[in-house]
Amino acid sequence: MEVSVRLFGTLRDLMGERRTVSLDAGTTVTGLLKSLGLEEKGISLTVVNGVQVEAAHVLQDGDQVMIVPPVIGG
Amino acid sequence: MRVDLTAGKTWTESVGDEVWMAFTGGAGFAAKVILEEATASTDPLGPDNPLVFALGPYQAGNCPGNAKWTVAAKSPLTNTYGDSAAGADWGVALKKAGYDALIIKGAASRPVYLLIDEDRVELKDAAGVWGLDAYETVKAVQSAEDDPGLSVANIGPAGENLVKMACIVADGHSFAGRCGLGAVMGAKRLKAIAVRGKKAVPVHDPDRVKELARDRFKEIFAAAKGNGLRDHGTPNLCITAESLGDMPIKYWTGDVWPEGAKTIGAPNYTEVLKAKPLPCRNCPVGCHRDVTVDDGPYAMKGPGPEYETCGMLGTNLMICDPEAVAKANDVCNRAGMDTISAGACVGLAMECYEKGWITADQAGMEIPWGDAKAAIELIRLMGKREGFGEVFAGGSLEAARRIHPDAERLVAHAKGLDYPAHDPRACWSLGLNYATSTRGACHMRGVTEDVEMGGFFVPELGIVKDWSKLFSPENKAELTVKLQDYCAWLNSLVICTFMVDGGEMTFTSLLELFNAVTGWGWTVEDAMKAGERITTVQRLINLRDGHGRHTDTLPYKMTVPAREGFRAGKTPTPIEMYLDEYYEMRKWDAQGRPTRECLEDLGFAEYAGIAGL
Repeated sequence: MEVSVRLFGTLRDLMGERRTVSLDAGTTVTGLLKSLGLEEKGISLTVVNGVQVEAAHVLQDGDQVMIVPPVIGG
Repeated sequence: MRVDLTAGKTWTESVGDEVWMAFTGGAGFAAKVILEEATASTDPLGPDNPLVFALGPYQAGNCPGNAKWTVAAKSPLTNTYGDSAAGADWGVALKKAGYDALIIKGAASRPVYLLIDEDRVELKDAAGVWGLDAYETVKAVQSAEDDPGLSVANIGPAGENLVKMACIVADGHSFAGRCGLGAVMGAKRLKAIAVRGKKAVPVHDPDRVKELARDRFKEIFAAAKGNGLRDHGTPNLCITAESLGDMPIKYWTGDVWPEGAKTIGAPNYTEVLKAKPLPCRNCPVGCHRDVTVDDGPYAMKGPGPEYETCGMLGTNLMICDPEAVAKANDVCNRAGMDTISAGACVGLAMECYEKGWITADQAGMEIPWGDAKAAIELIRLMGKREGFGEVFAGGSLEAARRIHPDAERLVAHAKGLDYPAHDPRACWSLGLNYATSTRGACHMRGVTEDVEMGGFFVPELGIVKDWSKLFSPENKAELTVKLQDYCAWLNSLVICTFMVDGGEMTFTSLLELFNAVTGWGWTVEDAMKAGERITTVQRLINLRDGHGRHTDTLPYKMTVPAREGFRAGKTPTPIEMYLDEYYEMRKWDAQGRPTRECLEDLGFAEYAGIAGL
């Protein structure tokens, strides 16, 4: 299956803003992060199809995933 | 130091250790003064309003992020407790001159500036600098005193003209923006406070302070490099904030504008404006930006727009050209006006223009959404109180009442202070935080949005990653109480919040440094109790001045859900779902008044009358 990933903040600066990722069926958010070389503890928010999800959330083909690292603004 | 501008006198007073132990300093000390020395009938722009500049224990030594200073008074926008903080060099210079606070009352008969050269203190004629902008004033005072190293806090023409969103500007670099305290300074005809200070400030354990400050400096620098705050400043948040529905769009009536946020925000901001860090003294973060627009209608060089300004003078007005927003920011800075409230006023003008409640004939120009030239011209007029700008010089709420009978409900405010650039419909805790904040709508005395967005936690208070839950009422009252009290203590310490939120200095690390400075041996519980005490004193001022549950509210626009985007269909309403729990946690009654039990627990039994008990 494939999911569309949008990266924010410093992740966007390092890896570009958007990419499509091929994953095995049943892959969770944790698995997606691992496939991107990202550590779970460095991620603030993961949003799938507009809804905030936990790391154990199982992804589906065609999901739109937002990955947000800690971003601070006053 | 006490200053009586009416009599032209200054003198020093000692403050007992018990006062510093109770209120820490900064916003806590200032609140105690305003509670005791102002009344419900004190006119914010009258001579009796005490204008308090206050430092804290943290200004001693070279602690990271210690360039902050606090100013407080009754605010002309809210008619109750108002404070604001800024950085640059001024606070540390005042501490090194030998002072912990200035309490300024009265009004001079002619413009003056206050010169503090350690023990030599003089009120000097400011006729030659009155009318200059906030940047020119620094150079003019330095030139008059023949000292280019003099640190200068001053007002621009907006403060002189009693514009109610006027700010106080430090060293042409950092801005005590909120609550209109520049107008309080202007009403006293006090143009500037120039400080020269070189004294060593005693601390409890100098070697330990030096060691801890050095280590914390390195850690905070690394954290700020890691999250982009050092390289891009607060504009780094724009794209993320818009995606999460947190950024103001079209004066809180728009839902999404990804192209706008991408154009105004970093990294485009950094590239277009050739932005570089502009750190305050002793700052490892360097969030402020030095920006340049070489030529064209928006040519400027100087401090650049922060995230708040990219929001309020940018997407809020449907303007996304970084050069145009940099120019609007520069016009505000030089006039000495808060960019948040100025943005709210221009947004209100554009919305009323769209509705036909303001005509081009009335305004002397067309004011459509997205028109940067019109926005900049209106800001210029507001700062001068000229032409149509005069309508907005009293702030958004006063302007709305003058424009149309239905315009007041368009204003997004709490207690008269305009919403900053974070939307409570995205981060629900902000609705409660803004509603109950003691200076009106303020995100910096709770920073709860950064917990909701997953970027800030305080494990010592039990605030951990599980609390990052958007669109849920769970934990929001507890989060707000805890972080309001923590930030009240930080604002009294006085430390830049970015050292902990963004710089990742833990509460435990901060206390270690605090105890090395003071020798007080405080625990987390001691600091949080001080924070509760400070919040409560500020709340008592709010209650005395007529605020309470009836003003702990959300504005109309926050009850209107988005039609599209991340927060579509969601609002943090009704506020009662958190407000009663919030009052209960604070031991306040159903009207939001501290109970006798609460006051006695804090050692404030003598204030029971103020709470109506």
